[in-house]
Amino acid sequence: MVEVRSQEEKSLLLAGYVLGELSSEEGHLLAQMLAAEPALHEELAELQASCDRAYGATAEPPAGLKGAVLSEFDRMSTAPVRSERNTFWTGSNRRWAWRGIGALAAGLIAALGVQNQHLRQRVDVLIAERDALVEPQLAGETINVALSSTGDEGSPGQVSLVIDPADLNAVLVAEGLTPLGSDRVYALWTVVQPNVPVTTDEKGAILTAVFTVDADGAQTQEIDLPRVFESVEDVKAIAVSVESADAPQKHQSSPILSEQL
Amino acid sequence: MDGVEIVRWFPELKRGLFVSSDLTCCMTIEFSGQSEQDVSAKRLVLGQLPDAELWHSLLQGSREALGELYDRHATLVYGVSLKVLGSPQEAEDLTQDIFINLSKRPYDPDRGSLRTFLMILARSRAIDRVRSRQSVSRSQKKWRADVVPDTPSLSTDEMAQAEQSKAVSSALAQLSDSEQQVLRLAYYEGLSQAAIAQRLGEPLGTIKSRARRGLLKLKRFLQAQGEV
Repeated sequence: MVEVRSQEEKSLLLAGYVLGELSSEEGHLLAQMLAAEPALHEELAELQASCDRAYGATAEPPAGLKGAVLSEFDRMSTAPVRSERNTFWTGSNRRWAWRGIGALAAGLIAALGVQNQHLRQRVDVLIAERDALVEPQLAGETINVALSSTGDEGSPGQVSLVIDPADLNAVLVAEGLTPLGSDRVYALWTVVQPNVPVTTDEKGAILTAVFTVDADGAQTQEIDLPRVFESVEDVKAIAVSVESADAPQKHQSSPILSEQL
Repeated sequence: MDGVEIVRWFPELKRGLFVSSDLTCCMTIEFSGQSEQDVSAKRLVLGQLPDAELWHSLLQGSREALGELYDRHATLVYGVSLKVLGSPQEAEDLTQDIFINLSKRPYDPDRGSLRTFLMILARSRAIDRVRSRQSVSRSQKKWRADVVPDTPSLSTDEMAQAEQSKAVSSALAQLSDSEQQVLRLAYYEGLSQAAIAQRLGEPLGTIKSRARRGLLKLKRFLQAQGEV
């Protein structure tokens, strides 16, 4: 049994709960602690509020959304069979459905010996649609990268990337960056390992994307990646700097955020 | 006790939590002895139940518990979704999906807060949706520009939010780099402590301690700035 001896240990346990990573033994201990010391609920609420402020975002959802959620919950509760049938056409089952449709259509053509061009075209369309749906499932593993501040000053904000090396693209999510004037932009750089045979600038970097942020400092953007990501080990780091909007490729500024890969 | 059922029992505390069948109220029953004469009851309204109790009620199919959880956390789920997706319609769809399927999620109320779980879930699912949309429709290069109108000037609320962001940035900057890194990996990438330890090549205990101490420091710095 874990014993909590000091206020600091109690606070650490509360922090672990807000982080969502208590062991079952710690969870049991925390339940006892909260029951015995109701005042700890206040500290727990403050920790949760800190987490919300730093890493969350709040916005008022549309007025009718709660009603829609509860109505759908009622429908699912009272009609499980129907719900199951409907959900067959969603998510991963759909790719199997498309595979089935494609296979059925192709099989009919072969069995009947029908050389109907229209049917062939239809099969091609079905297969193409199936591939489009299956593609995200079959794509290679993604790499999540959260960039770190490079300076000692205040944090410039957060930029994270979900990288798909197989498709050479990524989703960039920026939060809390300082909105820039029209003459400056944020530049995302791919810093390449030495001696890799690709063209880079003098700093060994490839300009990968240019982006701005909204008034809240946020941006979500799809970006194409340079071919060097086909061998991720050739990528040394990813960095963000603030550059001139007219010529970001000149790479005149030092990075404000970066992460080694 | 017609129409009332026990949903949780705490033997060490000699206390049980009972909820009425319509879930409009509940009672905590404290046993100071072994007989019914020793029982004292205290009425609570549904809104006073902790998330963990509402979670257990939700698992038993309680519509009212879902409604209460929605009231508490929908602004966070919708806010995070909107921030990542940029589209109010898509954020609404995702928020609805998360709450409708909430009871199917692998959440353990003994190990962590539901609010943090929902925040990480919303961010993760929003990024998944961006990726899925990107894969299916590669031609829509500037999708976000199409759905998010330009903001010509800052409103009062937006300016206040910008100021708040500075305060948060300042608080975060006072954490050590390693503390910032661990918290960032946990909240932005949704990594477990074990996954963070593996990625950074450090012992799990070190990572746990660093994350907890980092969060405590963050709370202190935000409190000093009047943010929480």
